[in-house]
Amino acid sequence: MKTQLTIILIKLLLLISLRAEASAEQEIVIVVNKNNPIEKVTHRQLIDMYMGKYLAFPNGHMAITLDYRKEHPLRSVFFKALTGRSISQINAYWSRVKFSGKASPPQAYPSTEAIIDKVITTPSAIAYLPASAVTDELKVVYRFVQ
Amino acid sequence: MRLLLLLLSFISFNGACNELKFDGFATLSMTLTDSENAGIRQHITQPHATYKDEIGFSTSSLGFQLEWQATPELQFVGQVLLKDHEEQNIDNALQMAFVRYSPSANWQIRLGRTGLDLFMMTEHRDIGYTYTFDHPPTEFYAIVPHQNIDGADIKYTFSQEHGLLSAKFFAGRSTAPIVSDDNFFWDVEIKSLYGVVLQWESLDWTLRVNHTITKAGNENEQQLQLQAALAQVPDEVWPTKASLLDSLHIIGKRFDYTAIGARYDNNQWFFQSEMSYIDSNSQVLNDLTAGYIGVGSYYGDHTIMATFAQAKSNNRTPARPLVSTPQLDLLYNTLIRHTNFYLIDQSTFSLTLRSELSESLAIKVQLDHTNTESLPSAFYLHQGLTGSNLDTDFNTLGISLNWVF
Repeated sequence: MKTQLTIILIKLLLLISLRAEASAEQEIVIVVNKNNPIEKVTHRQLIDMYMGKYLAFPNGHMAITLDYRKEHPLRSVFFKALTGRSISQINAYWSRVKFSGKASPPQAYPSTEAIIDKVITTPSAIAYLPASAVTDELKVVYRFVQ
Repeated sequence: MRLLLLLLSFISFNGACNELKFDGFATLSMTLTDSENAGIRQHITQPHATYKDEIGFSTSSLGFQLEWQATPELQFVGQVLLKDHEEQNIDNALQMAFVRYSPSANWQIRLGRTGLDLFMMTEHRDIGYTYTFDHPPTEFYAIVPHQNIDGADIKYTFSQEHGLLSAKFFAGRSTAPIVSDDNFFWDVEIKSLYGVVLQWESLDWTLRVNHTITKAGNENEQQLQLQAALAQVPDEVWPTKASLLDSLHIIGKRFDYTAIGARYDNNQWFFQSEMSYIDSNSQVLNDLTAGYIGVGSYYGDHTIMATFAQAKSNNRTPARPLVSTPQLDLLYNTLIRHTNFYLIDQSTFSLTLRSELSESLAIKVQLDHTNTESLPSAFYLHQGLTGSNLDTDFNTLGISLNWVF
């Protein structure tokens, strides 16, 4: 009984570590609508947009940031890559901004497919995706260096 | 304000579901102390306090926020906050209800009831999940009862190479309660409230300066009675009567707030510090200087922080009348309770541990050691003040569960 429990525990730990590794190795790219005139954004501009500080593309046009729902695994990987901070710290930051009435968090979507649909139909949208999900109707404006 | 409420209620029934956001927050807080005379509370508005051998839960709170994105430029925000109040009513519970208009990334205009952007944490001081402290430093945050403003603000943000520079101007009025011993209750009205905030921020740094000017709009019934009684005393018996009467006359008196703040957070360690100077032409609060510095470090899901906070006012106890009678002594003792209300000279050293239990739930434990040179104090409620040895050194343990949903 004790041996079985140990095996189950080891399997569980392996599963968790494999999943974490898969998430960490997933290349994330920033995409916009293909008709958006901008060609690239900087890391700092992305921070300003995704932290609700300054919602504008480099050409000054307003940006609509899109995000995933809280439970989506890509969200913590993205914010870690963007800010170096844990998802708990990001949630505390956004709670501070939101409940102070200063800004609203990005609109949240349940899946990559839903995000892609929104970017395709919204000229001023900006979103993050796994690199493998990029289609011809999207324009990549930033890649996180692995 | 009624129009905004109606608008928000209309929106809540007719808005498209994907554009409506409903969020909330809760803090379950427990307080233990060895303080015998000073009843521990976190804020001057709180009607209940905790003494030695008691367990206090009165610093807990619960809130909800509704947001509706009407257009990409226009949003409606409403927030209700339930906490320990002397008078529970809709006006006290309604923390925010405003329209936010952002015609560009640079400009933002808000109209309605917004948070009062006085100090770094004033707008979200009741939402424990948003900061590392178990509660904002008492010496700095407990003294100002006002937390929101009925009016408007306009903010311009300028994007620079290394950060964002913003300037905000706000104007309006505000009402908030002050509660003290012997059932003292004053719903303080501030009219002609104007403020400006300049802020520079990058990912790691926030630097800000605020200057706010206000005028008191009302007086408390006890102050009026005291003025009437004092007016009966002949000038020869109490030579300082005229200045005392003037100090008790609060309406129209100026209260100015100046504050600077800095925060640095590089994801390994952080510090946050603020200093404030409150100046007034009323003898009730001549001037008050306060400040704090907190330094902390992250260890995975745990954060450890040490904080030192201090506050000192320059108020002086008024001179006694030249003649001593039972009536004059009673009048004098009642008078100094009012004029000494803001007689403050104290400091607190705190150690805080915050642990993330999940991505939206945190537990915080904080131990405060306070030394005060002056009791009674505006910060606390009191008991047993007639004794000769007042307990001016005390420890307080705060434990809280903080949740956002």
